[in-house]
Amino acid sequence: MIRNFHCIMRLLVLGTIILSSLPMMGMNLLMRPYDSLLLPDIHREKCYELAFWAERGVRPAEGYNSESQRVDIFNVWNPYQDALAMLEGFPTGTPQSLLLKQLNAADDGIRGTFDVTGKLALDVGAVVGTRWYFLPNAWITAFIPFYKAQLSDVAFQDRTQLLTPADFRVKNLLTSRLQSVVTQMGNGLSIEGWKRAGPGDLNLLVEFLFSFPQKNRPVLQNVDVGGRVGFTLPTGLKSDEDKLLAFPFGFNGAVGILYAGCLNVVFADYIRGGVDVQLLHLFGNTRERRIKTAMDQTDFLLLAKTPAYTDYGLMQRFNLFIQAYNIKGASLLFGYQFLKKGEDHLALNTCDYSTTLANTAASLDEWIVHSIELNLHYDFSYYKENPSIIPQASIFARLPFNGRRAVAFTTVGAMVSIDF
Amino acid sequence: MGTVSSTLKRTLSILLFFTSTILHGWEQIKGNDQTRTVFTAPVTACAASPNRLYVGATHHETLKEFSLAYLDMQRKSFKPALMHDAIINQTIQAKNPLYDSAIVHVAEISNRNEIAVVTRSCPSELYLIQGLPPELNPQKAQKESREATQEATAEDTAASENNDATDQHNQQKDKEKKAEEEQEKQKIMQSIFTLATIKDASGLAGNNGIVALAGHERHLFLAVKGAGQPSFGEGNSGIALVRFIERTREVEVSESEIKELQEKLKGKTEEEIKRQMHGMQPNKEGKWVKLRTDRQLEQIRRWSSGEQENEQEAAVLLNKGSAFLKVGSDLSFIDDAVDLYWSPSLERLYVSLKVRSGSGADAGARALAVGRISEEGELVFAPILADNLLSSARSIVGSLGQDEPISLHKVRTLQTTTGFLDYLIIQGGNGSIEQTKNKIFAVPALNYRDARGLVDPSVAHMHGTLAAIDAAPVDFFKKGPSRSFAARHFMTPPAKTDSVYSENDSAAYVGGGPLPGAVGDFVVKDDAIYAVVTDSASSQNNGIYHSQAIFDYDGKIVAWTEWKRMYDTGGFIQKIFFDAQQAQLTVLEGISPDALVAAYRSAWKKEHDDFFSTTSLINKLFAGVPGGIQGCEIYDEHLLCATGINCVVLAWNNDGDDIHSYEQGKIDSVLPMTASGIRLHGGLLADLGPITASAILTYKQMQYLAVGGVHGGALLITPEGCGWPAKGQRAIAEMQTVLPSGMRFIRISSAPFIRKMIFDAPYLYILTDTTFERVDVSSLIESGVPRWTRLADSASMVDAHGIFYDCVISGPLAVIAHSTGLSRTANGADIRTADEANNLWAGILLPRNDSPVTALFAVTQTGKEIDIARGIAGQLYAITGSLDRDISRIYRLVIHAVDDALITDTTVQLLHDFAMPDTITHFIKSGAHVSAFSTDGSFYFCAADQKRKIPARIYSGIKAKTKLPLPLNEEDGAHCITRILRGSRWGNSIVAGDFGLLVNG
Repeated sequence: MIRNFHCIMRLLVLGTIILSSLPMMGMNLLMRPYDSLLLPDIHREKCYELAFWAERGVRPAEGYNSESQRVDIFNVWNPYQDALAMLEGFPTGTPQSLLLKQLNAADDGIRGTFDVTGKLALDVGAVVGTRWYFLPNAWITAFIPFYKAQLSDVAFQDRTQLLTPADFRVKNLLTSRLQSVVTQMGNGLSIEGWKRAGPGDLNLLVEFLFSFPQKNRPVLQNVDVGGRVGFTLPTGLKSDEDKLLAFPFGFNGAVGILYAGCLNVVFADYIRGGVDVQLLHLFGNTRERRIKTAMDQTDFLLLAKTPAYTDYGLMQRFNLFIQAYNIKGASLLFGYQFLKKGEDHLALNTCDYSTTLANTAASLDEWIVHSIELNLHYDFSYYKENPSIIPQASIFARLPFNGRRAVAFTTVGAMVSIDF
Repeated sequence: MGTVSSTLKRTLSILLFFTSTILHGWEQIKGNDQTRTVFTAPVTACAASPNRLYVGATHHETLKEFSLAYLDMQRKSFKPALMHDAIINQTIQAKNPLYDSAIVHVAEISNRNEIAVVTRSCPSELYLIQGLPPELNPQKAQKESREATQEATAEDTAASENNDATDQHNQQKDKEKKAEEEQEKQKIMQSIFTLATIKDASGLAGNNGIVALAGHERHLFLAVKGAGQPSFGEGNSGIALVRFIERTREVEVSESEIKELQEKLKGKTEEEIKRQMHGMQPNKEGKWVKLRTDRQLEQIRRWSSGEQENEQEAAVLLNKGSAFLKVGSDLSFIDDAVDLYWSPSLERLYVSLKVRSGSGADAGARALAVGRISEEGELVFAPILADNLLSSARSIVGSLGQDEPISLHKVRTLQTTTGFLDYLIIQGGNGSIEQTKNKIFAVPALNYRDARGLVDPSVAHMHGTLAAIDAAPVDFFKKGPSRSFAARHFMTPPAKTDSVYSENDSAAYVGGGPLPGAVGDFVVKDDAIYAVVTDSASSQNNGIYHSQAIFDYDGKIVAWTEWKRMYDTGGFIQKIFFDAQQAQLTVLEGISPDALVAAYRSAWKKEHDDFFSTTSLINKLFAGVPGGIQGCEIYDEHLLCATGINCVVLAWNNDGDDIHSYEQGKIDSVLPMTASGIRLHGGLLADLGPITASAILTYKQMQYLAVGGVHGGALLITPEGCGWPAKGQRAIAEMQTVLPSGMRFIRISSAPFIRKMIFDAPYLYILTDTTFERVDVSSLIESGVPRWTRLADSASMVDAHGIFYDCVISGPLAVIAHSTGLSRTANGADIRTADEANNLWAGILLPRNDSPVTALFAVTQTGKEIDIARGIAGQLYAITGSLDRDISRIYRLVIHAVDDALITDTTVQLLHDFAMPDTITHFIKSGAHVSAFSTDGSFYFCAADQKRKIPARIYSGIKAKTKLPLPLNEEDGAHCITRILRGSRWGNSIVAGDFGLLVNG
């Protein structure tokens, strides 16, 4: 019976490995289930673990611009969106260039620009994860996330002043009918809100952890040294190039390789602290992307869409934590997370546009998020010696407090797991 | 008496300075007196190079080291060119002979920091100053020199007292050390080389003086009187050629230096040793010496009768009997006032003379001699025009006939921007000295340089002489695959008398006619001439006048714009000095024609009451007003119309101090006498939005103001249909008395986005974004029901998205700039009579252009845009550009006069600015999108509107790369530059934009 159960679990873990994903993102938006600060405790004496996380944004996402100032989500890359510049950089005779000639208006930084606002909400983020302790100090982990998000209340506030004939022309022909112009010339671009739901990227890890009990030390009780390596596979919902801020639920079709290391120490039985460093290299991929065709264009009003290869920047994550550990089965973790993604580079698969110009997009630049994470965790094995099933539960909060060129959610969530 | 006179002059000069400061508001240039910013004694402008201007004291013992002073282009003060002590002919002399002297002639040696000088006290001696500040510091050098002299004297004395033979070696070492120190000090001292006696044409020392001086980097030319002769042109007078020679001498190197060097070079490679020896080498006597090269002067030797044994220093004969001047019998008169000019472009010497032909029956005369340096190094003269080409029909440079006076005061050369065609710009002509002082002519000159810039020796004697006016210029292209355009030259000599310009040819007459007074000086800058009138019968005409060339399609000058005064002080302007890149004009002004006491330089400012009394008033009105000035025009020389959002300002130049405001767009009360303008806003104007266009209409001796904006057009008129009396019926200062009460705006057009309104009697034309319409003014004023005739619409002329940008109207011709290029009135058509757009338009191809033509700029003979196809010809600049690419190209077109004739293919032609053979290209390329353009032939202004964080700015120069220092800051807005105008009364540049008005003056 037990043997059959083990076989079923093995199949389940393998199936999860095949089907599940590690939630990743092109932006710093969503929970990362392989976030070491939110994972359940390890029970190496067990064979399997099945875990489930769910989180929800408690308020609309907040943006941080290149100066690390807190701004609206539509201002993370540009302080405003430029509809005049949107028409630049297209070949002579195209509708965009004809309209630009018709407008005959210089882009003075006000004319033809919009203050754009909107609300980006994480309705739900959920992950199913499994562990298979296939060796005493090693296990395989697989995660598959699911997300539901929506952009609402998108408003384009025209900044054009009616001072000159050029202002009037721009108002009449462009800014007062932006939706129509974008629809006609934007290759399917929509400047309205959206709702999206779907899976994230599959994540598969092999993890190991070695404990070094410090027997003769009065304070330091134990040192854990661990590491992990794995892949992200592109099963997630990709970014929708035709929608505003429609971020991918993974890494936008890219395969990634992940490697990380951690060091945890336990002091005086109840205090635990540690550091976790994780690097993610993404392999470039080619797909249809919106690109800049002129230097002054802003990232949400890009009319040109063309196949382009993206060479992704390295993603780095550093976690620091301190934890009141296992006090009658309960633990309270206070963590700091630094998340940074390096600059991406585009290579266009067409000669119609300039790769150099396309690479001036602010959205390709590096981004950073600093977060505080709180995790209140309970391990039910505290009251029972060697139980056959060990349940665990936790509630957590993710509180971004600073960043650069990033949009970040403030979320609360819960996790339940069983080890058996 | 002398003291009283001196005090009076000093007082006058100070008074003039303060008066000038109040009057001009320009940047004052400091002279020798740093506190009062003027020269404390009279000075005269002596010479000018492109970057530097020299003035010399007119009296001895007045200005010390400032006896010769210079002003660099960007500096705000004159610098002294002299030092108290100088090294004369390679030996130290205590006193500089030029210090505190009166200077009469100065010539700068191009590409070298050297000046040739002749003083009043020694008129036959030539001084060459080698080394001018900034590399010399006069005070420091003088101090060090004095200290060195004192120390040397003290040590010499001490040495003489010491008879101990054992110390002799040490003394020798010390002396060597001192000598080395002296050599070092000499390096920072001014060096002067003198040529004591300039010989006349017979080889005798001409002790009567040098009457003119010119030079270039290899030679100096001096007009010298004959020995014993009272005036130039008599006896053995001539042009002396002095050349620079470089003599190498050996300077002994001290033993200590040799030992030191030997120690230093031990173990070094041969190459390293050679490099560090700094040219030291043993001489024939085995002593180590350094070779030092001195630059000296030497008068060129000539050989009489070709016999070398008679070789002697002598000038080239130039007198009444010179064959290159006379025709038939000897000249009867040559004036002392001679002007020498070395043309760097043609490499020819031009000697301008005032002569009178002889009394023989076949007599004639030429007043201009052309000299060249032959292959043998001699100065050789040639006639400017062959005898058989002279006529009695006043050939400018010469004439046939007995006792004919020809007076040429000055000759300069002009190389056109149309590919370097050479013209001689001649002040003077046929007539007496007084009769010709106010005439300036431009005549073509032969240039036989090939694509490599070399002149065939067989035609060298003709190079620089007059060219045939009826021959086409020859284009040269570089060899190689690019075949890019190299140059364009006149290469056909005249074959008959008709092939030479006479005074009656308007193409040759700069300014289209004489100036209103005698010209004291003139400056040639690119395609423009600036003349200084200092001695007119009426001092009101004194000032700086400007004229620019109008070119035919092949680059030849076909006409000149009429003289326009661009600056006036009421005083005597001696010299003007241009920095075309920075658009700065430096003026040297005096209390008399030969006594300069003040200098100042133009600058861009927001307040210039002296030039246009209402400028600052207008700026106050528009200060902080969103959108600022969106339209600006100057009418009848004195009326300035500035328009903005829902408002119109009409200002005139008088002593008033108020611009009177009227609400409801209506003049509802009598203007106060102190008013210098009116501001109308509200009423119908409130419906027009931003007002960008205006026009003054004239109908039945009355004038009316029409304005147009985003929401239509309106006319200022009384309920009875009256305007104000037209110019001629009133004085401009009376505007406040003649503007009738009750005038108000009535709507005349509902067309949106009016871009331009043009009145070309009897029609008013309106260009909007999408239409071009005509209306007879009589229907506007008399019937009140305007009958508009649509002459073009963009949808049919261009395309569905096409718009019109600008237009130029002149008689039957219209040229419209639009989003795909340029169109003009079709052959045989007439916009004055056309009833519909069909068959009315023909395209103009702008090669290598796929951008819209966003603006037009017209240069006309009269200065009025509507005269571009009247008179002889006009120049049209078409500004193309695309906002997204942020570049602009400017093309030039010539518009031949049509008047009442039919328009043909040759009416509007592209100027042949070649890129390659048969490939016409643009004239100017700007790295920014040009929103407004203006040129006067030397200043080229390309205005660019604000582009994101880069505020509105103006680039100058043909390469449009120098950013003008406009005094605009963030508070001014400076988002857009609406217009760049040339003030028609004063000629100063005016820039209008959302920041208000800026005036260059």
